[in-house]
Amino acid sequence: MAPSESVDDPDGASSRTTLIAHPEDNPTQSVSPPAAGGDRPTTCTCGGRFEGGWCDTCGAPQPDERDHVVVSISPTLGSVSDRGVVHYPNEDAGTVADLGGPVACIVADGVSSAEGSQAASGAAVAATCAALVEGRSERAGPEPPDWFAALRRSRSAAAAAASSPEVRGEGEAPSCTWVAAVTDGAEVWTAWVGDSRTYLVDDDGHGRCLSTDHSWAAEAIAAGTSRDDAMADRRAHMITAWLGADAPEIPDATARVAVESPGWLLVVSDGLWNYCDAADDLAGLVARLGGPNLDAVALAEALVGYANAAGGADNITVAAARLSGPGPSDTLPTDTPPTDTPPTDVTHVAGDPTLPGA
Amino acid sequence: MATFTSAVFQNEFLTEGADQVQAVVEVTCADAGKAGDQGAVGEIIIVDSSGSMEGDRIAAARLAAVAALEEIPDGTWFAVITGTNEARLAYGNPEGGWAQAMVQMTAATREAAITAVRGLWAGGGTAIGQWLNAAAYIFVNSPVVQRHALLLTDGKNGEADSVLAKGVNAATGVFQCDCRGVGADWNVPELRRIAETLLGSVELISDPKDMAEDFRSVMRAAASRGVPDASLRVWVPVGGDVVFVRQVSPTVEDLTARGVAVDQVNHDYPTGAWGDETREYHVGVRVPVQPLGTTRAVARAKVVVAGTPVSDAVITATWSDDATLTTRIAPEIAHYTGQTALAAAIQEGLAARAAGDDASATVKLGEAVRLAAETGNDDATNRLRKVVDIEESGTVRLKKKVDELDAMDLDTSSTKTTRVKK
Repeated sequence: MAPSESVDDPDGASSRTTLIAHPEDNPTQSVSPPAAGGDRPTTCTCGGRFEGGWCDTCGAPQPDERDHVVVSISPTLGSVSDRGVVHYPNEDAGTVADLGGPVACIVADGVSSAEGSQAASGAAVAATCAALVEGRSERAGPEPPDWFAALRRSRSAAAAAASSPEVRGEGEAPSCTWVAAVTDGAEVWTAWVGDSRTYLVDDDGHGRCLSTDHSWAAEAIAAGTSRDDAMADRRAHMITAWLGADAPEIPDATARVAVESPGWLLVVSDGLWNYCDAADDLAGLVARLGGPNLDAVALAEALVGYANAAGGADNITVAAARLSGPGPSDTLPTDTPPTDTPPTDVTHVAGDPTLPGA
Repeated sequence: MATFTSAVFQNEFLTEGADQVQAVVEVTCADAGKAGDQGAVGEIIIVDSSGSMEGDRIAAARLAAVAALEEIPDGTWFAVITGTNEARLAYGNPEGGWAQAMVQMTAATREAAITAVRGLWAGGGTAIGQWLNAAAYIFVNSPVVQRHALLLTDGKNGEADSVLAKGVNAATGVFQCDCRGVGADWNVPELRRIAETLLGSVELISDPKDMAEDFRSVMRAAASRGVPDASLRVWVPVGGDVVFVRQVSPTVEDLTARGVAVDQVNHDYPTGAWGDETREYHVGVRVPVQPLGTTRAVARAKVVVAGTPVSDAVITATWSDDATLTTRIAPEIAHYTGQTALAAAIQEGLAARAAGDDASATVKLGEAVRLAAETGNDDATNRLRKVVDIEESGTVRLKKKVDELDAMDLDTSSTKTTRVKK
């Protein structure tokens, strides 16, 4: 795949951003998504001017660098965040990071009722990425790293970033969901706040959802309401926990499982799982899409495409990491110090992936 | 400072090649303040003093005018017109003629005005066009920016249609006018047309005793409107057209013909003054067809105050080949389409009934009964029951004996809508 910074959408109305880790600045590969409100064009291709996100002459949506963000670290690690069909702008953010062997998938979903939530999700993902990358030196010992501790530290960093004054808009405090997962190939550790999810899907079409939503629907189901009734309720998608200045106490929700067979770790926003809720359904979908043979970005693109074809009612983000399964997994460098040798097949193209310590 | 917010209800998915889009736009004004915050306020009370008012009606009108005068805040510019086959100044500045007729409300002018309206007497004809013309003349020569009138009548207009039209034209865009009819001798469609054109309400006062309370509430409502004037600006992309713009809540009013082109893509529709309230608009547009998968803003509805947009509702469309998406109907659009049809069925049914065409009246009022039930408008159902008998099968028959006031109440209330149950 030949990455490029900005590829014109076929209808000329959206922007695509592809971010690739910079080999020199980035011994441990990670990329932060662009912040909101970057350089957006002010003039439409039709000659009209954009006003409030739409062309005042032809009605085309104003391209935004968050419209379609691709992060590509390697064939086995990548993410795609897309604005979807209906909801503008893209308030989701997602990225992936190579932590020197172990890898991380990170997603945040801005709460659209609060102005500035696009910036909040971007800041939360960037802070999570930075915290996980920074922590790698502490892990450079013979002991197996404590990934829960690392995830909790990154969650605190994300919470601080999402509630920082820089992302404040007018009115309601901006806020976002948050989920991060780390895998060394043998195990997956995850932590989350809200209704963005961590799935594990194997190549045989079996799936597991490791996270439990902090949402009205999840609480209703836990209290005995049927899944169909709960999901049909207007309040189904109301989240009960989030990051942001007005967030209630952040629940310490984590999970850890062993990887039993080859497949994918998928960290996603509700823009995807709205159309594919049950874990086995998602695993079946991945298999149908050719999951075992796709590279990470191609799989994420295919899943985004599936959600858009189904209506694309919300922003969609998929961060994917390939799991080779047990067996040869002991060859994965779970307890070796991170390598400083960058891969050779990655070129830097994108905007300005400013990295901690760079 | 008043704030306007808006929300859009629609199915944004269009089938391939579709070029028609509808949406319901809900506009809410908060912190409107009160009349006078944005400039001088004027009130004119217009009381029908034709011969038919003699007796209870003129007595009630005197009390109601007193009640209205008591509600008008100090500092408001005001005048009282008494209407027969001409307009006369019942109270106002005695010098300077019509052009300087308004005086400012003080304890002394209130006292003097009350004394004047207590002396109103009935005699002569009904010339609403002349009354409106006089009020318009007073307003345009006055220093006030927020202009409101309350018109009371009890009879059909006695002028030639062209004379009435001239008066309504003179008043249009100059002042808002709430219209009230007392008794059973006035013409509902005629007064409704006047009220709608002048961005006001129309109500039947069946019992003259209720008049004072009604006048009081009209004045209170007028004093609570802190935004003197606003327009709904509807944008469509180049190559598109506005098909219709209707207010659908709290009442149905077709604004389509009142649009004024601002430029190639924007039309302004007058909405009058706003207090703290919510109104809903049903907008239909025709837009250039786009390829499958494309999303476009296909209309925007902004509230414009003093030339400045203060809210912005974006109506989008996405062309899709997925029938499960494109066949959805937004409940708000279905609801208000039904309520608009209900208002038309009631008005057409009553007009047919008045013309002696019982067959058409039965068909139209039967349709109204069905629409009222479907859209959950229980008030309309209750009013319809006073004019028609509804059998269990749903068949409708015109009642043999109908109190004419009930038929007029059904007619004046026909434009009132219920909101979507959420």
